[in-house]
Amino acid sequence: MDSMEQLLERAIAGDEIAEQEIFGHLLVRFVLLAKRRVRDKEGAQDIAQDACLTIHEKYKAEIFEVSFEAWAYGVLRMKIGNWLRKRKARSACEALGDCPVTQRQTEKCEVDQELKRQLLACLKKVLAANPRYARALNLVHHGYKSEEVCLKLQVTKGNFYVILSRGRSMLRACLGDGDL
Amino acid sequence: MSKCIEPQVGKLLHAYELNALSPQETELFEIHLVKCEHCFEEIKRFEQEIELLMGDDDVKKTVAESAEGQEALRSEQGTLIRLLRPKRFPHIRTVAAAAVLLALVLIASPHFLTYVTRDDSGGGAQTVSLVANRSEANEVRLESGVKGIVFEFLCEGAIPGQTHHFEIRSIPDGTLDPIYPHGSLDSSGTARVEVQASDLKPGFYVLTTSKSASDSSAVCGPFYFRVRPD
Ligand SMILES: [Zn+2]
Repeated sequence: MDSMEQLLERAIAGDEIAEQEIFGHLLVRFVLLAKRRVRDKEGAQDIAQDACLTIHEKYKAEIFEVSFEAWAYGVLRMKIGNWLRKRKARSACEALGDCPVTQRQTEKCEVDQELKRQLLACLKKVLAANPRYARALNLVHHGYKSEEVCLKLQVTKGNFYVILSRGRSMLRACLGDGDL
Repeated sequence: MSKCIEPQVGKLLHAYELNALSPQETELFEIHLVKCEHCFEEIKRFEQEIELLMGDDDVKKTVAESAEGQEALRSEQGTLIRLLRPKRFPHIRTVAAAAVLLALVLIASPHFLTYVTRDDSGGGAQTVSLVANRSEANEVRLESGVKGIVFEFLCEGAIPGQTHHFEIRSIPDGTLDPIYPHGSLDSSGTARVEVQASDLKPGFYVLTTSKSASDSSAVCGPFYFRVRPD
């Protein structure tokens, strides 16, 4: 498989297949990143497509300071910012009762009860076996960011990430085959 | 499955999922996600679980209960270690540390537990001897059918004939309402404090003593204990 640099080189030279591959790659990632920030599935799709369109228009003439991915990510962030500003304006119009009919509500996901049951069962096992993960997760639930959690747990950032990674691996293993 | 292309950034993965990164770290990791197949697939695969892990109230409650139990245990052990840590003679720290280790080993072994429980009145009450600042040593296993618990402990600062105030609080504070049990003191300085067995749920507690409800200075103790499920 070609690297992004190789694909980019081919796409700039006019290779349409390479171009399609690049934008297919970007689109799925952008949807995920946008969804995380705007909490709206359709909104995330719109943002990702809009970002890809802008990137498509400009990438051949652009000089990338750091990397193509970092530049593309910057475009996405700008689109997310624009979308959030529009949503804020929509909220204001909602309050006034004169919104356009095309607007969408922020979606609420249905909870998969079976998955929740499995997750709770595994989580109990993991938390009992890995108390530091329990304490880290609890602090995160209370809104603490990595630096504050490290201070509270008296661990280095490196160790904090290791604690989280171990907890996650245990959780995934348990959800996979029931064992830690 | 492919490997992470930048493990130094990839290690932020779970912190990113949990929304625990600073804005700068988030940006760094998101650019990484655009490039790294491995991390992107990992995030996709665990997306629903993370939604629950971060947004579900039952999940949050489970985590909080587990973490608070750990905190209580740590604070008890911390008290024990602080008490045994020599302040004026730093050169004997090594000896003290060894003593603490030995104590913890003994405490961990059920054969050496110093708590004593006995049935006092035909299944009506269970007596538990408490040792001050001995955290794990003070264990209460509620016997079935027992209605009351009598905590017995040596209270050096108590004055026979005077009333004393006793209070039992759950750790972390506020999990259960505080209990203000009735207590008595004999001429040898042994205090006996009675509580309803039904008032004590499995968990960590601290029993404190003071001259009165308004004067919180300790007469003796505190006495940490743990109630284990039957
Ligand atoms: Zn990676």
